[in-house]
Amino acid sequence: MELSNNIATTFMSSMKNASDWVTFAYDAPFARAVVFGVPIGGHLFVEGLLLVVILFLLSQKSYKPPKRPLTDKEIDELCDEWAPESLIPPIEAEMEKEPPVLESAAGPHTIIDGKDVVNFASANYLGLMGHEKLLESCTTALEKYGVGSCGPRGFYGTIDVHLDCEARIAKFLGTPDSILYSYGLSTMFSAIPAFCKKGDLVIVDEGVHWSIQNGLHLSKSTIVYFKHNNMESLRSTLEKVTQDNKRAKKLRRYIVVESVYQNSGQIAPLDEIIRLKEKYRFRVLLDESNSFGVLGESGRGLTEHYKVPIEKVDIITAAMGHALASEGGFCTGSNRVIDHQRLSSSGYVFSASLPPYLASAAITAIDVIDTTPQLLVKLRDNVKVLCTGLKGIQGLELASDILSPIVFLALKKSTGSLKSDLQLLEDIADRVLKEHSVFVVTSKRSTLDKCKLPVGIRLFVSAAHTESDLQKAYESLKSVAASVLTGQN
Amino acid sequence: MIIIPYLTALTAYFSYVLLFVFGQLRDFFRKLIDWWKASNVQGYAPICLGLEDFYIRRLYHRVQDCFQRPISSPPDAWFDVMERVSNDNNKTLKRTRKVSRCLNLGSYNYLGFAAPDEYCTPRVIQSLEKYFASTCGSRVEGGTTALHDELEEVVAKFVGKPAALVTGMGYVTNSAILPVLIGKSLPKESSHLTTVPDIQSNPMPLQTSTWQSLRLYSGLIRLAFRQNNHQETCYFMTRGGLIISDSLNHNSIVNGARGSGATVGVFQHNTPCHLEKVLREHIAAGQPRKNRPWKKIIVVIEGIYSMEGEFCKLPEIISICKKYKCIMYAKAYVYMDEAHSIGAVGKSGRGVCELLGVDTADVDIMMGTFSKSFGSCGGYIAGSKELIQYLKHTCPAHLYGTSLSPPAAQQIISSIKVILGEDGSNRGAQKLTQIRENSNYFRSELQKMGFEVLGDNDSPVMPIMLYNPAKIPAFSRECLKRNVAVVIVGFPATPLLLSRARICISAAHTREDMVRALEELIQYLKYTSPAHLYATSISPPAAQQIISSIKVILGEDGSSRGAQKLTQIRENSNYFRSELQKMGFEVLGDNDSPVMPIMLYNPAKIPAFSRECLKRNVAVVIVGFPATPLLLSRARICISAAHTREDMVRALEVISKVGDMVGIKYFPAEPKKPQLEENRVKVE
Ligand SMILES: Cc1ncc(COP(=O)(O)O)c(C=O)c1O
Ligand SMILES: Cc1ncc(COP(=O)(O)O)c(C=O)c1O
Repeated sequence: MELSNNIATTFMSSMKNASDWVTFAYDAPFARAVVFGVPIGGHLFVEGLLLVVILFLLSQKSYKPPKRPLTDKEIDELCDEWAPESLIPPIEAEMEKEPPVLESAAGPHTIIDGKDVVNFASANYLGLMGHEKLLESCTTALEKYGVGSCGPRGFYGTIDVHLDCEARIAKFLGTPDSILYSYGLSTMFSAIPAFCKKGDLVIVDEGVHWSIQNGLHLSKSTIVYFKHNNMESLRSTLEKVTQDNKRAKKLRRYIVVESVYQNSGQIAPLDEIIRLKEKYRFRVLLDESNSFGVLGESGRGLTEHYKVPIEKVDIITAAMGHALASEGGFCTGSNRVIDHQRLSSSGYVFSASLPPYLASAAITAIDVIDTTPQLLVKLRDNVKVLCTGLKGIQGLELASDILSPIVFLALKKSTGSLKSDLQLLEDIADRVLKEHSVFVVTSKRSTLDKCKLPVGIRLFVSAAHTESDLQKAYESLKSVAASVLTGQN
Repeated sequence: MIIIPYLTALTAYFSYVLLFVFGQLRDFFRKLIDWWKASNVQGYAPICLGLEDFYIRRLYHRVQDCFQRPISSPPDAWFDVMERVSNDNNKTLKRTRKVSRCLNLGSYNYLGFAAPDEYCTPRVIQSLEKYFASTCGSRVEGGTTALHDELEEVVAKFVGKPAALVTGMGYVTNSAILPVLIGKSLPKESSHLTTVPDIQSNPMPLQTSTWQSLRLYSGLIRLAFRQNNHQETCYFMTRGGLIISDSLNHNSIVNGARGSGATVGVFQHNTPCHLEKVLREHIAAGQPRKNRPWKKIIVVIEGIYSMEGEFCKLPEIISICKKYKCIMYAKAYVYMDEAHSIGAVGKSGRGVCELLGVDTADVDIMMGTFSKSFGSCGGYIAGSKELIQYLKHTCPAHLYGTSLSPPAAQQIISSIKVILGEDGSNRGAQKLTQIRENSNYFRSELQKMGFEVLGDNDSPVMPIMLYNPAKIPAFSRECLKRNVAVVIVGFPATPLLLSRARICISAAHTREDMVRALEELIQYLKYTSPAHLYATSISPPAAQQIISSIKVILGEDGSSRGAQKLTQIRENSNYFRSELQKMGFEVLGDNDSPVMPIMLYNPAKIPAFSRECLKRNVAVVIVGFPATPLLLSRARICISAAHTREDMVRALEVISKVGDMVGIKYFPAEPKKPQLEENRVKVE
């Protein structure tokens, strides 16, 4: 109260002062200026003066007690006292565990510890690993170009197969152009900061994988999460951010989703997303890493699956380390979107380009998908067989979509902490590998990962798995889960 | 430290301003036309806008043909560059079938492993057959093969650390590992933001075009002066970690530091004393706001700076980091990126530690990539066993990224074997000698030709300074015309004024290749140098004079006059220089050099010095503004072998007297008080 009184009196007195000034200034001879032939009244002058004063006061920093700079000696002391932490926290027991080492290619069957095991840990969806045509094209490329490209794309690291591969991908998907990245993980986290800048508005699913999270963090945009794969939540979020806020119309706005979530195996309902996007005028960034070459009649991904014209999705990215059995990643979209990345996308500009043999493997893999659509049918059947087989498994539930090549088993009843959940699942996976020779893995989380979805056992189904492989998988999982998870309860 | 000639800076700025103004003009007219056409995308803000887009459309497209040149062969010493044509003023380029065979001075093929190799390639193909091209899984999901384990062992042994971790890409290695080491582990941000973020607070000055151009302009200025371009702080994420980064670190490190959310301090490029200053300031100030001491500090440097060709001053930096230690083990940790140096330098190719004689135990985290010297792809981190174990459990690149392609892994193993001579031949040692000799030869020749070459001896990376934006595409195109492919680097990758061409020497280059390249560069100089084009040739008597004088110098005239002259000029120069210095003048230059600039600085002193000397019958040269920077005006003395000792004593007397009078003895050696006073009285 007192303070406001004080302010009021100060204000009054200054007003009075000011009015005195005004009367004085009206009489002052220099107040009656003539500017460009127009006589200017004195008040203009005074107002101008006041404005200057206000601006001056505004430009001043608020009062701060002056800080005495530290003397050299004090700095020396501080430096002497400084005791840093060790570089890393102490190693815990579970960190000493090493993943199984494969002694042959990671095909549907592989060798671990000298034993032949069925492999459900590699995202070799179409079973292209070891495909003769791919081997042939890799060998030819290795003999012609050597292994690495020894330079970023800008500086003589662009080899003709890169351009061919970009053209092949664009032709396959029916987009104007595409751009190759040398690593799947870097695709998203380079492409996002190229388009989302400070101040832009990005609506993201909370279950996206780390590479997208990192891209968003680097972009410094305003990020709003919606509930995992929940269209109602997306709609209300969009509503909220656009309604309350007139300015949101003038921002660049994006919705970022994955087509098949690596962290849950759920499939994003693209038709609904497109409807919402058009209503609220957002752009869509779609990561097709686990759906390219998998979903849709001919493997063209989520857009084909939902029969959505591909132009409606503004930016599509995908890793080539899954269905294509190669490595690297690509982004596709309009010419403008692609050209922009060629100079602005840090992972593209500042990194050596994709080894040419991997680009030529990707071309051949797309050719194979184009000519043998049976693979896709087989994959879908396999997923169905495995999902049906896993029904009724003790203590675990199927979290993934029935069409997703990632079959995701989460605990029905969480133990309460991510760490102990993971430990439990690891035990199951270990026993399945040791006792039944079926290689499955849990979804491990980096400490940097912000994803809050439950962890689980992840099975990557391949078109190359036989009926008996699948049967072995669900039977062994069922029997181990029954023994491990009843003991727990 | 690069010092730009004054005029060059001026013309370079002028060129940029011209480009900017014309770009803006063209944009203005385009906007008018678009306004007529009425744009069709309603309700969306443009997807690329601002400075970046302007830069691409109006500057980059003009020189686009110099970048991303496709090749159709391995990037060996010679390669096939595919020709491209454009029908729309360089906006888009089309590949043609035509190729031109060019000498490759652009690729990071330091040891020549880019091309198929007699030892590596058969083994690579074997591993392709055994493990296939990809594992389709991350390292913890069926992506760890026996080959990966072997590779990690080989790499750890090669770089001299207890353990190593290999990832599929060098860029990701940096940008995923820095956050793990120093970032906050699990952020407290809630995943559901119930409140809508304050979008109002983000101003959108994109509406009016004046605003836009203002923003553009300020952006340009900011970019032009960017030094500490990645200095930024995200207070809300800080966990008490501090990254101190060289100002010219690679983009992947900048991204990693940014992604970690740690506070980032920047020290001047490769300047240990500034590093010390920054370290002290930060330790003394503590964490922002909380003022608590830092939990840990990581100093991030590179082995060879790829845009500068310089080695890092590792021994000095290590000793500074060690100095700020206490209780036994702890100190500021050193993280070194050896992307360009591993394999390429050092007696056995083990990088800058070997070259500069630093114990690898002193570098806490060693990072590097395989996409350069080893002709493969991927990156590594090497450090203590515990560090690697921890990273294997937490690093996203290890947990989520597809593992390194097996043939690429095999290429690295085989090439390291070749380097270490474990393939049973001495090809590795030869390659290492070759690259050193090649680099030093090429660098010294370039310098002799008069190019401004940055970087250190033994470094295979040589930037040639171009400065002026118009010269960037010209240099690249002219070289390509002569079948030499060089890399040019301009604005976003370097500061605005410091555009350059970069040459990367390879062990695969032969002496003939290099001689050829140098000849072509001379051709280029001839082509662009007006003197060679327009001047009349040297007159015969002048030519004879040169021939005869060279004969005298070499003693081919039958006398020892040449040798005498040479002794005389050396003695004269050194005598005169040391006397000048004793008198307290600020004399530039080295011993034995006959040219001695005496700094004057003040414009009033320039004519004064000259006139007063002339009055006393000594003729000196004075040099002022356009020839020197504005402040650095000077007098210049050129000593000759024809000067006798008496001449010089006399000259020194005069200069000393005039120097006192004009007041240019800036460094009175031993301030003898009485004498000084005496002088002053005299002048008065
Ligand atoms: C210093 C530095 N670090 C990291 C990288 C990235 O390595 P890569 O090309 O393997 O992604 C580079 C490549 O240019 C580099 O120069
Ligand atoms: C480095 C350098 N280059 C060229 C010249 C010009 O040579 P000239 O005087 O023979 O024209 C000079 C003269 O000062 C010089 O110092």
